[in-house]
Order: sequence, then structure tokens, then C-alpha cells
Amino acid sequence: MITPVYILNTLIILGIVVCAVLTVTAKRTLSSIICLAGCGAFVSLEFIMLQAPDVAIAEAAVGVVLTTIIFVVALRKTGGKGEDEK
Amino acid sequence: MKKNWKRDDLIVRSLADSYLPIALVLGFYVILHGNISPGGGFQGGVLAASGVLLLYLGYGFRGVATALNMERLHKLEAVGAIAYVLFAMLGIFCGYNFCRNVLFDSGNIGDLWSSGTIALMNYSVGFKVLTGVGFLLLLVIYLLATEPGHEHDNTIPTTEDEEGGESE
Repeated sequence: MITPVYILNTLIILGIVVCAVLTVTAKRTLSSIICLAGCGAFVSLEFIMLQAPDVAIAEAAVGVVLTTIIFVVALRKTGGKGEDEK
Repeated sequence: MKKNWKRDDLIVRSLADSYLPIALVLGFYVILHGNISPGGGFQGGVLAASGVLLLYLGYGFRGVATALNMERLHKLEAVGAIAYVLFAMLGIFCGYNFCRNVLFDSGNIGDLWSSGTIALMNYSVGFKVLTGVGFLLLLVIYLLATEPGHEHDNTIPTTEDEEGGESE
């Protein structure tokens, strides 16, 4: 049975998968970090769909904001270049 | 990642000014209502501590260093941990076990003050996470600003005579 909640759930899970694949296959490391943040945002939406708003807030705060900042700073401290663009 | 990225942008600064109160109010709301709504001390603390990042985006390392004191934040984190342990030991002082709720019959169900010691422990956790994550973000910003070959504001101001900001 196709309900709007089902369609929304499917779209969110597709977003998670697409962002994860983009994270692995991105050429630049900065793009990979941004795709990882997008994956975290979709995971947070999926937590809301699964009726866990507590975990969703934690995921949105830590998985999207903090890890992105720390990855960007680490990337910048190591020269701002990934392994693919030497 | 560009070296000549313009830091003093009017739009970024205006948006940081607009979003900083929203982030702080949302974070403190989540901390205060941690016992009756989704969220809690950890989530609200992280949400409120992201105000440090907004401050950095708007005003650069200089603005962050003048608004917030790093060492004071580091000490206040220990104060939060001590407050948590003390509120948890209220159970021992009253003759029960550790983390026992000793004020459980105060207030009506659903009120803000209705969970006794749990709310106080929740606020302690929120304070500890707020100061701890704020310290972490300040450390990260400090590392970014002391990057060699980074032209703007390369000198680190000393933080002994600065006023504490709104994250405290």
C-alpha cells in the first residue's frame, strides 16, 4: 500500500544511499565532507520518521555540524588537498 | 578553501547576527525542557554551543577571542561535572542510592518543574556540554587561526583580561 509516509520514507532512504555513494566516490575531499553532512541530515530526517526525535536532534547537532567542522579544519590543517588532486 | 576569501562580508555578518539569538534560544529551550520534551542537556548544549561557530563566521577569530574566554570555559566545564555529581549524590545524602530522585513529588505531571532532581542533573549536563563543546569549537578555531601561511589575524591575543561572552 502506497501512502505519503511510505513515499517520503523511501525518498529519505534514497537520499541517504545517494549521499553515502557520493561520499565514497567524490573526487575532492571537501565534496566528500559535504556529502557526509548531507547524509547526516537525511539520517536525522529518517530518525524523525521512525519517531525518535531525541536521536534526531543529537544526530543533527553532532553528525551534521560538529563532525563537518572538525573534518574541514583537519582538511585545512593538512593542506586542503585530497589524495586525488596532488 | 581560497586563500583570499573575504572574511568581513556584510551578508555573512548580518546572518550571523540574526541566527545567533535563534541558536542560543533554541539551545537553552531544549536544555530547559529536557525532562518533558525530546532533547536534553547534551542536544541543547551542542545546539547552543554552535553559536560560537556563528560568531566565528561573522566576526572572525578576533571577534571570538574578544567575546569568549577559553580558559574560563575550560574551568566552567569542570564546574558542570561537579554539579552533576553533587546533584546525583543528593540521593546518598537522603539515605538512598546514587542518582536517586529525592524531590520526585514536586509539581504536576507535564510541568517544567515536575521531575525533581532529574531536571537539575539535566541542567548540569547541559551546562557541561555547552562549555565543553564551546571549548572544543574554540580550540578548533584557534587551530585554524594559527595556520602558517594564513595572512589575516595571525597574531593570537592573550586571553587573560577578556570578558566572558554569552555562552557562559
